[in-house]
Amino acid sequence: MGHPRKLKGYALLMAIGLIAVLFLLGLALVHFMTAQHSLLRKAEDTALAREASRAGVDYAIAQLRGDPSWRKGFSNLSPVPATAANLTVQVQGDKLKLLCQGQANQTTAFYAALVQPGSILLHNDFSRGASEWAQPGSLPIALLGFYLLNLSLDGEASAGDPLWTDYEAEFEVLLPQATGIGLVVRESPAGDYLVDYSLLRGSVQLVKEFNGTRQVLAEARRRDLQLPHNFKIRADQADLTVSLDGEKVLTFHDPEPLKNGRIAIRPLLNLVTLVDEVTVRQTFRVTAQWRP
Amino acid sequence: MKRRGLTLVEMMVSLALSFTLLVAMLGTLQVGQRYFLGALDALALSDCQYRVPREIVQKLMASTATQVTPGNSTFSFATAFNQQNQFQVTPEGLPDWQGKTTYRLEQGRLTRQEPWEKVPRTLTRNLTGLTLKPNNGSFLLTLNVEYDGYTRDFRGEVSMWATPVN
Repeated sequence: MGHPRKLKGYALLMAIGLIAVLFLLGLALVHFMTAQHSLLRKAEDTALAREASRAGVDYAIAQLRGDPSWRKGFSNLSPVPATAANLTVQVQGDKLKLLCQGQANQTTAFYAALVQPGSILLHNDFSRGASEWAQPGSLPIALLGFYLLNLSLDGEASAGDPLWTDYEAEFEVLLPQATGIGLVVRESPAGDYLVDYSLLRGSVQLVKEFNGTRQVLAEARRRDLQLPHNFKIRADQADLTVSLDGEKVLTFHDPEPLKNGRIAIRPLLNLVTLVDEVTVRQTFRVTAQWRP
Repeated sequence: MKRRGLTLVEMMVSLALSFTLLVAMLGTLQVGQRYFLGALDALALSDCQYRVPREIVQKLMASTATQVTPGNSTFSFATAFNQQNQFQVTPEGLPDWQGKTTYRLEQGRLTRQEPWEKVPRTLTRNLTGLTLKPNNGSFLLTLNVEYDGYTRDFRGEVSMWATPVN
């Protein structure tokens, strides 16, 4: 064969070149498919991380509902499979900021919430006096673990902070036969909510007193002649709930609620009323949630 | 050294190889163009189907149900995010509402106007309908998408539920 040396192997070079081009094409295709897969995984990881961060905050809120003193947060919790959540609790005045970082592979997402933890605002068992209470015209009298009302009481006895907003007030009282009692929450100069329990009338009423007017919001028939009574009055934003001796008897949603105020007790018919115990609990509340 | 041309067989082989190479190159260009246009379609569709509705739902969830104005073609809700996208709270820990974010559909363009913006900003195109319906404290967002793309078309609804938590 007389092929010149320079032209020898030309077809082989062409073939190699073609194979190289096809190989590069194949590589590009594989790279493209990998990129598509990575994008899908990234989208999936983002959704997982977001869910993990939100679930982490929900978990912390549940912890705080059970234990208002819980502050330790957590790390590497897995609220959603294949994720990790880390939560920090920052004290901001009387509020707590919960910040949770959710992680799925290399993708992270955050969720935050501001909560007002539940706490005891006032507790009196009257074993050492009733100095927290204000009575117009006289000094409070505590005797044998009871707070004696209506010994020269002019009007009502009140306690607490006018800035209290959302709380549950619990009263243990001994009522003289065939009388009743008035218990007040969110009392301010503008108005208040009064729970008026009258054995003579045979009902318990929830009354809104505002700018000199008196409006019955809800009423339930009730006449129980037993001496001790347990009242729980919960004022949570626009919702009011009254429980009597462990039974929920009245609820009302006030579209224009009175927002804050103290608690007060008004004995009826000018008879002596004994108050055994009073507790005011600030209600647990999530005030704001957002994704930073 | 004596030079000579290619034999017929060599010529045929090299022509075939050159032709294959040419076809492969053109094919590559076509595949590349199709992928590029397909990527543009995917991006535009992903805007209408995922990114924009998810962004609206995320903002709506950080709002409050009492300050949502639902509607057809336009709706608005309160926002506590400021211009730096930071969530603002009052000293009492409640959201500090900065104003209302308004979404509006105008000639197929979905626009968003934040409280501090004087001119609405276009978020996406290719929409024929936009509604926000209330339902027991939650809201159903529906976007009607009509997309004629380079490599594919899409006509349909995209719906998402959102419940404002504040």
